[in-house]
Amino acid sequence: MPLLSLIIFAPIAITLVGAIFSPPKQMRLVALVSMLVGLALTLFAACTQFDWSGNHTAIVQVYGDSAQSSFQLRESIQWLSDFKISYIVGADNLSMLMVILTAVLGVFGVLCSWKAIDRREKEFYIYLLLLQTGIMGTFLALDMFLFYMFWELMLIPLYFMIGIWGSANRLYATMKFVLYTLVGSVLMLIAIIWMYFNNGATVDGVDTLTRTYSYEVMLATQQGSAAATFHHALWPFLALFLAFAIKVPLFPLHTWLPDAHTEAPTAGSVILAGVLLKTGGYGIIRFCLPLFPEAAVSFAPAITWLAVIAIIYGAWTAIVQTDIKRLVAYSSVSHMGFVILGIFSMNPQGMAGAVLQMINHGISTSGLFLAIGMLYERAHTREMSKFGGLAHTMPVYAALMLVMVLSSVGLPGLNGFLGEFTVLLGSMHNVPMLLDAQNPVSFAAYMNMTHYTWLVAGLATTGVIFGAVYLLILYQKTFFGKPAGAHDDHSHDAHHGDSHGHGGSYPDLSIREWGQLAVLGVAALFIGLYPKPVWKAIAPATRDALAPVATTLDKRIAELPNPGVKLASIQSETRLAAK
Amino acid sequence: METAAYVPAINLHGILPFISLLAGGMLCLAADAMSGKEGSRRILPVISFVALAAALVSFLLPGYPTGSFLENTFYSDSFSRLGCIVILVSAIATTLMGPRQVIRRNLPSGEYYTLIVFAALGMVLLALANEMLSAFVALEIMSLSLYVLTGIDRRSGKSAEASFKYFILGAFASAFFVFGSGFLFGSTRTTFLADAHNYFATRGGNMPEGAEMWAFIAFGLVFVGLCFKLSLAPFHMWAPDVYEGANTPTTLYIATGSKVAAFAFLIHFAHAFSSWQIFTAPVTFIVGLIAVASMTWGNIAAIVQSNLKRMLAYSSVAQTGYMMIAVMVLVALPSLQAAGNLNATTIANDTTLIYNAISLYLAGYTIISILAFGIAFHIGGEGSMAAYRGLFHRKPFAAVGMAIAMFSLSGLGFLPPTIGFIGKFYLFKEAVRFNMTGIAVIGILTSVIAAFYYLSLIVTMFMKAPDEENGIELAGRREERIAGLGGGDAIVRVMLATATALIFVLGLYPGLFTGLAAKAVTTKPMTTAMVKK
Amino acid sequence: MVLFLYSILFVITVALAVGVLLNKDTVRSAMCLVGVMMCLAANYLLMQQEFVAFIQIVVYAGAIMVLFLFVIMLLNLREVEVLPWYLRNARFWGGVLALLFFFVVGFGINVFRSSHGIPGVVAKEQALAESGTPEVIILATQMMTTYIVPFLLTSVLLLVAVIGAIVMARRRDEDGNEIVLDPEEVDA
Repeated sequence: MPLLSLIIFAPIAITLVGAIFSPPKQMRLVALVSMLVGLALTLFAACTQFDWSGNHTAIVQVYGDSAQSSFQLRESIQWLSDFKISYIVGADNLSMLMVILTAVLGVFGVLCSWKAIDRREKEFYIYLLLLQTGIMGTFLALDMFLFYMFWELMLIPLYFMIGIWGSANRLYATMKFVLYTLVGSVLMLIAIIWMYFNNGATVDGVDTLTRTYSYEVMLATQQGSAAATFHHALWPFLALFLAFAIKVPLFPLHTWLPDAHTEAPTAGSVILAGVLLKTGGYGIIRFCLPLFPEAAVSFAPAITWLAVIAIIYGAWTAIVQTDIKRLVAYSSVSHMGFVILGIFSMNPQGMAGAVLQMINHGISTSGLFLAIGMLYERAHTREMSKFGGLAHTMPVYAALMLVMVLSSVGLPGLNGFLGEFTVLLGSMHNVPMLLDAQNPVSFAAYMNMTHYTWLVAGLATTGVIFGAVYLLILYQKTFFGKPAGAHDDHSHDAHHGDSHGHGGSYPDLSIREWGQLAVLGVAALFIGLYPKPVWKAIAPATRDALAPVATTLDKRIAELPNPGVKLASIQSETRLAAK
Repeated sequence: METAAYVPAINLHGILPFISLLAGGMLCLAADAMSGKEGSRRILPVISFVALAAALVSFLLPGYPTGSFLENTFYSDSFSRLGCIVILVSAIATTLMGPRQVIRRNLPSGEYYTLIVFAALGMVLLALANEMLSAFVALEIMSLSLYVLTGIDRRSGKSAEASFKYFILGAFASAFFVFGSGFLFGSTRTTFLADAHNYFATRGGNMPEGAEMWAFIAFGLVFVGLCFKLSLAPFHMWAPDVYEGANTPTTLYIATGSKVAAFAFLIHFAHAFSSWQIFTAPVTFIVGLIAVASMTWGNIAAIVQSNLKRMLAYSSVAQTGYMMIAVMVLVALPSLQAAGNLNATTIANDTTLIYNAISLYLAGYTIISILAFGIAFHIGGEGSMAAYRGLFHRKPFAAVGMAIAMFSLSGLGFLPPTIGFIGKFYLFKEAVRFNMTGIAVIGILTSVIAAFYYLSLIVTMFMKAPDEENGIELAGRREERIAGLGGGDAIVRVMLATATALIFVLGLYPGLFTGLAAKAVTTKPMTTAMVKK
Repeated sequence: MVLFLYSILFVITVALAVGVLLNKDTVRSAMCLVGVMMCLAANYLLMQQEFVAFIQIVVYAGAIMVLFLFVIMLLNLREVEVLPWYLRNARFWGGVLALLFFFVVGFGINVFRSSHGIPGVVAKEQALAESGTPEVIILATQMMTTYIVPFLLTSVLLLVAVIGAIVMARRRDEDGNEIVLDPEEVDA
């Protein structure tokens, strides 16, 4: 059974068929059923068909090129044979985790639009499901060209979702979002074409090239030889990284995110924060590191600094926001900075922390956006100053929101703590930076800062503290204190729902609403208290991503002019990585 | 003085399309003279459609000659054949829109259809031409027909202005062209491109003093003339005014048919020079410069346009710029061979690949243009943006069709399995293969600029409310209503639906199109002599 | 000697061409154009192409220019338009460019005359010329053999031109109504 293809295409197929027969008002039911079918298929695949041990290997054939592959549930069809492009999907631990996250959040995407979307429903849910298809495909595609197609497919539905159902400034936001993402992705296309033509190894000045779009073949070729062609390539790495960094988004490429988040409808924000940003991190782990280990190690210190800046800048900017959604958007910039920081630490803790942080961010930030969406449906404003004292009028809401806020803050016992803590632990032993410090001509060596990774970790830790500041400010201003609107008559709800009386009193959550938040809250609590299964699932992904980098790092260490005593510590790190 | 009767060798299948087009045009004239106004309005579209379709079929039939025919005047290879197919498709689309256009503006149908068919004849001749004089005459047949078609709506001031501008600047271009031909004759003593190719191959290294420079000037002048016709920056000034002023079917015809023809001839013309060693490097540079100028300026200027047809004019400037990337690769091929990177077999294969890339791009551009201009025509209003505000609420199918056209015109990034995307992908792929990544990156980044205005139109159609609840009655639609055509006729709808289907089908199976000529692929491999005297 | 003659001809041709542009009286402009045509004919004579020279005089200076003058006089277009400054400047620069243009042509032709390689078509022509065949016959032979295709195609071109002229000059449409500009034209 083509399980993965079903996961990708069955929901949108059901929705399209349903759209023909259902009246507009019932479209949400069709969409919900589609998403649930997708979720069921995903859970079926993950629980019964998928081998989480990470020991699966097989020999695969793509257009006559064979390679060893660790991907499971593989499906392969020759598609555009004129161009040697094929339809190949497959999953490993990393993509399976992301697919589960996507499937779960997809259901919430429908549920939170239940009442919020009251015009052009058919279109909306078709776009939502199309977006879901694009994201699933992005996580599962094993052909570079197919990956690019799914990557682009994510763009249009969200463009329409923000542009049609967004709030006041939506046209600006949607255009900005598309253009930013497009710049990255078209450069990625050029990089992919370059990879097609240059995949191989240079032995004695002669290139033996295997032209292929298959990721598995590329990976095998590139790891099979120390003289692999991608090793000298800097700009294809940068082009790919730029595409992914814009999606993550990494400072200074993040400016589209606050606008897109603020203007998007709730479902758009949830999917955007919960899953879409992860495609960036996923891309870096999947493509940038294993295929271009040399370039990745070379650029790692610079990228790490950008991540640190993103963490602190995102947090500081979030503190001064008055728009709740904007605040959470900037917190995303900060949190996704941790992901990049962890990945480019290039050691097991950092990498595992980064993957967990992606999942955690998916849970907690989606939860926050869901919660804000519920509030927005009642108040039709997102200004923090318009709220206050909600804890009295909406106790259930306040309690669930508290779980989400604390999860995002990183309270020990909840999921956020584990991810951020592990990333920080990893960043203290940021291997490329330690190597950089050993290089006699580097700035770090000049300043005799051989362990300046501590500085990085220390600065990043302040991001956690500021994170607590802005999230608690958010919580305090909205849930405690006097109900706002009690004094100003020209408040937001002057034209809307006089039955609520004062601005601060809204009906508490319905079962549909608190159900969503409760599921996410339980997940947060579960990961926070019993992370072992998640760690076990992440471990093979970490190993696969770090194996090629470890080889490069070993080589770099061997090339060090003056190994000295510091070498021992670094080597222990890389051995860890190579494990 | 005694001379034997001269009987040129004629390949009947080779000239079948010419004959059918010529006969079609003549029949149009005759039928117009013999029937009244209403009669000719009914019968002429049929005649011209049959003539164009017959020509199309004769290109598609197996056994169409390859290589030189008709006294070496024409040369048919896979690219020019595909070009002719594309030209005739665009001519047929123009014809299909004809009946409604004729009613809208009360045009003289006799001249209208005759000129469409004759213009197609000129285009097909130009696309196949391998001799400068024939090419010039073909160019003039095409251009004169298009000048008149642009100005055929005598009641419109804009149309007259457009026609006049097009005529003056087109005459300039023709002058450049014929002047360059003279220089080519001067330096190589021939107007036959095959002979010129041989001349450069045998004597390119030791040409007479000064003749090298004149050969360069010959190329430059003809190239500039063709750049005018292709509306490449900085020779694109006529395009926006003409696109806006001409009636929409004619705009489509100018944007697609005439460009494809000029492009096909440019390939033949550049091929004549390709055997000349010192030619490659400077011309690669110049072509690259023109490509970059067209891509950037076309896309930037398109952003600020407030009329759809003007926007599409600038966008077509940019689109042609993208095609020049392929020409650049084609011109540079011999130098790659000289550098020892490629052997003769791969040269032939690579040339075929590049030909396929360009023809696929041209076909994609044409089909998408048919969809875009067709919908603009269907809606009426001569491209004013007001007609598109909230179009989705009034005419959802038209809006979705236009959105598909815009997405696939922008090519990159959106709706990957469209022909617009595959065309660009193929083009950039060839550029990267030959290490011209730089220009590919410029191309791809300017296509992001392009995405901005394509998306703006989609914003206008989908995300803004219509101006008035009931919609506005646009210019053109009123006349149709009076004439009893009401909501438009079925033929245009079928045409638009077909174009939409083709955009996706050819996007998924591009081999369907490039395979049309595959049965008889003969590629002129760059730098190898191919004349059989 | 030939070069000297050419130079003189160029000066006269360019002066007359500038006269065509700068004369505000259309009739004088037209007369200048006749002069230009004559000079071009003289050029052909210098190149020993007598037939083309006579054709040039008969067709251009004779037939076409007479038609031109006839139309001008018929329409009585004598009003002088005041042009904006940049257009007046454009005339000057146009003149300079035209001058340059003609020098380019001149030098080019000189180079061609001195160049030697003669493959293909011209070889046939040269063989005919060496056998003492009159120039008209050479031309006719070329036209009816080597260049038969463009020669035939020219007839289509002329047909298109005639149709175009009819369309553009027509005063009444098919219903017999006077063609007037549409006052309601959408102005974007």
